[in-house]
Amino acid sequence: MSPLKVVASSLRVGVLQFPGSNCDADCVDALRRHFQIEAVLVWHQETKLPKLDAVIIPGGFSFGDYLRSGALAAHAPVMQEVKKFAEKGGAVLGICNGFQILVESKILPGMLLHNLSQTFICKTVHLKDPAGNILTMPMAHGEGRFYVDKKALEVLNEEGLIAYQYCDLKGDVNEASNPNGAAANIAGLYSRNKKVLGMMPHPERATDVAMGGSKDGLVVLRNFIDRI
Amino acid sequence: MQASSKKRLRPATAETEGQSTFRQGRLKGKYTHETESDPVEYEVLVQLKSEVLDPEGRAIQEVLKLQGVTGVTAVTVAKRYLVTLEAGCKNPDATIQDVAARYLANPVAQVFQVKQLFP
Repeated sequence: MSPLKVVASSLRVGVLQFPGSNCDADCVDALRRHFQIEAVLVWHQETKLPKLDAVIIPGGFSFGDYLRSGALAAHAPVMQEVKKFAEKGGAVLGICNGFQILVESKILPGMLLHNLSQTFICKTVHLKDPAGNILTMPMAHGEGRFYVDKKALEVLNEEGLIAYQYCDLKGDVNEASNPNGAAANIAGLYSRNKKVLGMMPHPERATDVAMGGSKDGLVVLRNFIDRI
Repeated sequence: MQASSKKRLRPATAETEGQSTFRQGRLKGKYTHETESDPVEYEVLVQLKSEVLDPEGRAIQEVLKLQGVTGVTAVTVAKRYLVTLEAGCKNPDATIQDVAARYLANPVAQVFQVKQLFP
């Protein structure tokens, strides 16, 4: 199905809100505008999730990025519910700070360290998915250097859990196309059942040409919705 | 928690001075105190595992080299937390280990050291 086609949907997606979240409204807007999906905001202190088909953990600077990015949010009451939701096979998408929260919650493996350059990087990047498609969208983070030890990295490769890798325009995955020093150029990662996706770049910021020329974020969101 | 008993105050010595500036600061730098029911203060150092690249440490080392400082073979950056547990905490050592392991450090890429500063 074309990612650009507007379809009526009965799906209900929860978008989490932490103090410091700043991409929550963008996620809600992308789901409503492009997929006609009802999106509801869920506050971080909730101890029970409403009836949902999927959860999105948006980007931002939850709890001021104190301690480590995502570390304090990982202990929020709502995340205990998201853990249970994911364990039951629920679909979860973590974007940027959402990805950091997913790894700090141990829902996804690894850790996101300070970028190799020690700087906050905000720019357009190209991503390659396992099928070889090249997608273009922005990244904006200071702690996005994905790290796992060599053994764990081998497991991720063997099990096909690497969702997106930073690449160049031609699709080459190499050191020059790695903006933050991430292990194996990893920009996004699946859980074992492929229901949980964490990624540093922002698909919700690439849903309209007016946002910078790329609509490739819709492809990511379409794929996520199809896995619900 | 149990009420604090009378505190025995003693002047800070050269030995204790600088060990716990946090506490001395609260006591206006004049005294430290120690009883069994005093709060317990810990220092937790968190740093990257040796096998994980520490770009900040490496950058500092490079600059030192460029400045002509010789003999520096490694620079490692660590984050220091000062954590005070309330007087009467039943098992402060176990509590601080738990806090460090579960919250302050992420074992995927970091290690930590705990040191009791006070009493």
